[in-house]
Amino acid sequence: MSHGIPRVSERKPVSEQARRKELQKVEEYKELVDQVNDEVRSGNLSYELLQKSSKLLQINPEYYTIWNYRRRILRTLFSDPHSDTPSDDTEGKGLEAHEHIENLISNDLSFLLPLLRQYPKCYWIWNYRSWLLNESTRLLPVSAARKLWHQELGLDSKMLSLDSRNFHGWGYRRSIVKALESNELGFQTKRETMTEPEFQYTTKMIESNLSNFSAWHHRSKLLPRLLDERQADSEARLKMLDSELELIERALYTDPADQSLWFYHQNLMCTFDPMYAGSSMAPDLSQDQRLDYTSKQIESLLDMLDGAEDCKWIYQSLLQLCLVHRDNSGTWPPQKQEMPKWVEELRTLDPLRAGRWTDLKKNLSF
Amino acid sequence: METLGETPWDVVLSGTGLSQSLLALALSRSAKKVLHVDQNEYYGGTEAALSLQEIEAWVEKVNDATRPSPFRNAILQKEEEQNSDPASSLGFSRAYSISLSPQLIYTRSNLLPALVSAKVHAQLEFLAVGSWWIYSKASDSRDLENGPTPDAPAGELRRIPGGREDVFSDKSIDLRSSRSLMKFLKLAADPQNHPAVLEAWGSKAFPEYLLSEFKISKSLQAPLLALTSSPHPAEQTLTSLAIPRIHQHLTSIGLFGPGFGAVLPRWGGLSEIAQVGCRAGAVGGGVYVLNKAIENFELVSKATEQEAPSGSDFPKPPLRLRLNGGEEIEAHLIVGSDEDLPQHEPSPAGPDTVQISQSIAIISSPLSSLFYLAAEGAPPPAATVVVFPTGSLDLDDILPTEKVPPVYLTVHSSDTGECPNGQSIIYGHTSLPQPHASTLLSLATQTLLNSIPPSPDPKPLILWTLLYTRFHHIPTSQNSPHCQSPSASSPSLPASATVSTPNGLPSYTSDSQIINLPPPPPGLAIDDSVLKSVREAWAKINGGDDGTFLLFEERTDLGEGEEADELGKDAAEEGLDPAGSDSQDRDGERE
Repeated sequence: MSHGIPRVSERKPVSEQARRKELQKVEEYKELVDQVNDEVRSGNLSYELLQKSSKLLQINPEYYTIWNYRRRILRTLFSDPHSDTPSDDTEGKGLEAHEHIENLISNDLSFLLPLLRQYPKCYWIWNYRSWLLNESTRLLPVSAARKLWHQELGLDSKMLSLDSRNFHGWGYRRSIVKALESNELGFQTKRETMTEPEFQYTTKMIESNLSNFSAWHHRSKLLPRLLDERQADSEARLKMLDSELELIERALYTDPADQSLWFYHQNLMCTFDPMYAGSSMAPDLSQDQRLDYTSKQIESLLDMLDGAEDCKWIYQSLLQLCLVHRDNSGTWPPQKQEMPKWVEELRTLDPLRAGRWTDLKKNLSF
Repeated sequence: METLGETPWDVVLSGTGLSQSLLALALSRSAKKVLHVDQNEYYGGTEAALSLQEIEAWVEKVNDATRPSPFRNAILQKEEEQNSDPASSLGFSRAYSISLSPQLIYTRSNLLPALVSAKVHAQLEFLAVGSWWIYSKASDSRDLENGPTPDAPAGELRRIPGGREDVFSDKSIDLRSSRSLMKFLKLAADPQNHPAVLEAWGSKAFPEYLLSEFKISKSLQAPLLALTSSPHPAEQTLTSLAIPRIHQHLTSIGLFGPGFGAVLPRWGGLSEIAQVGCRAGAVGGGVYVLNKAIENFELVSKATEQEAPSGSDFPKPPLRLRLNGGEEIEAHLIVGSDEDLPQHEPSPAGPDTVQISQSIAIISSPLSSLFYLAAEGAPPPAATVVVFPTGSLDLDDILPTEKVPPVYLTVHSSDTGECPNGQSIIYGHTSLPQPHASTLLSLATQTLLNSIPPSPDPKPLILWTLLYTRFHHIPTSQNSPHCQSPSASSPSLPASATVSTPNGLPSYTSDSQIINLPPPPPGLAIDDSVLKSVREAWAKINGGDDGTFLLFEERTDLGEGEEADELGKDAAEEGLDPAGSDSQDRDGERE
C-alpha cells in the first residue's frame, strides 16, 4: 500500500489450475514480444505493429523499450497520410495531413486512459502521454493542440481526485500549465495566466486532505508567481504572508503529527531566514520585521507545545527558529536556556536520529 | 388458490418487511419450498414506501386498535390549496413514494457487503447521504429575517465535523478546541482504544467523559452527541452507546468515496431492498401472494403430542395453517414478525417497549442549500441529516429544556424518487412520547425551514404532514429471533419451556417451528442486528450456519451469469503482477 492507495501488483496465492493458466499466458506473452521485436528489427513499422504493441503494453506497461518502438511507429505513421487505417483498407480516406495525425494522437491518448487508471504510477505511461502532447504541439495547428492540452487538465484533475497524492499527477499538472502558457501554444503575455485558479485548486485539495504534501508543495511553487503577477506591493505581500501563517497554524493545531504540514511551515519560515529571504514571498522585510515575526512564531510554537509535548516537530521548529533569530540579530532569543532541554526532548522522542541531534547540539554550540 | 395446499411447504414467510425479505433472499438458492405472503396489497411491510392514497388507507388501518401493528396514533394533515402554482402544491398520489422507515445505511455496516455477496447490489441504486447539520438557537434577533411563523424561531445551522479536514475548515472552532476535538476523533476512530475507555467510562454520561478527559466544552459536545444519533437527552446518553456509534460514523466516511458515510437506496429506501429480496425469492422458486395472511395454525397430528423432538430439525410434523381466504395449507416452519403472526396480542407498552414518534412533511421547495457537496469528487447527496440537540428547542411549559430529547430530521431531495422535482420530504423522529411529540416534531420542522440560509428557491411551505408513533419491543435475548410457541403472548417466555397452551397444543423446545423475527430497531440508521437476526433464522432453517449465508454465485441459468464469470476470472488473473518488479517504484512521496 502506498499512502493508503493499494498498488495493483499484489500477489495472491494461486491454485494449480490458475498457475497453469498463468504459465500459458507467459508463453503467449513471450511469443508476442518476439513478434514485435522481429518486426521492428525488419523495419516494418506499420499500423498492425502498432496494434500488436498495444496488446503487449496492456500486459506489461513497464516494458519501456516497447514504448520507444511505439514512438518510432507513430512518427512513421504521421508521415504517411493513409496510415490511420488498416493497410487492407484500400479506399484511403485522403484526410488533411494534420487531421490524420490528430486522429492517431487522439486514439493513442484514448488507448492510454484505461492503462493509466490501472497503473497510475507507471513512469512510462506518463512520459509517453507527455510525448504525445508535445508531438501535438509540434505538428498540429495551435487550436487543435490547445484543445488536447485543455482536456489533459481535466483528466489530470480526475486522476488527482482518485489519488490526490500521486506526485506524477502533480508534476504532470505543472507541465500542462507550463505548456498552456507557452508561446508555442499561442499564449500571449497579456492574457491571464492560470496561476490564480491553480492556487485555488491547491486550497481545495488541502481542504479535502490535509496530509497532501504534493498540494502544499504545488502551493509553495505558485505563491511567489502569484504575488508577482498580482504585482503585489509590500503591504499585499505581508497580507498574504499573514494569511498563510494563519492557515498553517490552524492546520498544525488540528493535526500536529502531520509531516506535510511541518514541511510547509518550514518553507514559510524561510521568509525570515536572511539566507533565503530574498527569494521568498516577502523579500522586502526589514531585519526588524523579520525578527519580530521570528519572535512571534517562537511564542506561537511554545503555545502549541502546551498539550502536545510529545510532538517532536515542535521542538525541531523551535530550535530552527532560534537559529534564524541569531542569524538575523546576532543574538539568541530569550528562550535560549530552553534550547538544551529541547534537544534532549528530540533525543527522547526520536532516538533513531540520535546522531543528528548530537550534530544539532554542536551547531548550536552548547 | 387450491394449488397452495398441494404439498407441505418447507417455510412460510409471513410479511414482506425488510427482515423477512432478506430471509427470502437468503433462501432463494436453497431447495426449500417457500411460500411468502403479506397481509397488505404492497411489499415492504413496516418498511414500505407508499403513495399518498396508500398512506390514507394505512392510516385507517393503523388507527384500528383491534389490529396488531407496531404503529399507532397516525394523524394526517393536508394544507389547504393556497395558490395555483403547481410547484408549490401537492402532486398526484403516485408521484410520491413515502417511506415509513426512512433509515440510512452506514457504509461500514454488514448489510451492504451482504447485498454484494448475494449478487443483488446491481439491482439497487444507492444515493449518498451528505453532511450532517446541527441546529443551535439564534444568538440574537437579527437571525429572524427569514420571517418565521410566530411560534417557531429561526437559528443557525452548522455542519458537523466528521473528521480532520472538517475540523480544519470550521473557522468557528478556536485552535485549542480544534485540537481537543481531533484528539477525541482520533481515539474514537481507533477501536483499539475502546475497551479501556468503556471500562473506565462506559456507564457514565458521555458529556461528562468529554469534559473530563478532553476538556471539550458544552458547545462542542453537541455535535459529537449528534453523531451518536442517541434517542436520549444529552445527560442520559452513556459513553457505552456513544463510542461505538461515533466509531461507525467516522470510519464510514470516505469508505466508498469522498464526502459521505451513509447511503440511501433510491425509489423508497429500505422498501427497495425488501422488493429486491422478494424478487430474488421468486426467481428462486418461491411463491408470492399479497393480500394473504395467516389466520390460524395448529399441529397436524395430535398423536405426536407426547414425543419430544430429539433435536433434529426435519422431518417434523407439519403445521396446518389457515389463510384468510379460507385456504388450508401445511408448512414445516413459519417465520414472521409480531404483526404478521396470528395468536399474538399487540405488545402492551411496557418497560421493554420503546416509543418513537415520527413525522413526515412534504415541502414545496427543493431546499437545495442543505445539500452540500462535502468534498472534491464527492457524489451529489440526495439526503442530509439535521440534528436538533437537547436544549435547542423550547417546549416552554411542557417540559424543561434539558429534559427534551434530541430530534433528528432527515431531508430527502427529489433525487430519491420519493417526491416530484421541486419538492422535498422532511422525515423526523424523536423519543419524546405523545402527546407532546407532535408539537416537538412540528416545531423542529418549522424551525428548520426558518433557519435555512436564504436562496433563490421559493419560500418553503409544508404541503402535507403525517405523524405517527412506532412501538418497538426490545427482544429479551440480544439480537436473536424469538422461537415462539404457537400461542405465547409474552415474548419473554423462555424458549425452552414446555407449557401447555390454551388450545391444548404443546409448545416445543428451541427447535420450534415458529420463528419470530424481531422488527428492525428504530433510529437514524439501520442496525447491524437486523442482518444478524436474519442470519440466525436462516441458520435454523438451514440446519446450521455453514458460512454460505447470502454468499452466492451469479445466476448462470439466466444466461447473464456466464459472461460475468469470465470477466471476473480474467480480471483476477490480470491482478497477478504483470510488471514483475516492485523495485521500479521510485515514488518520491514521503509517508
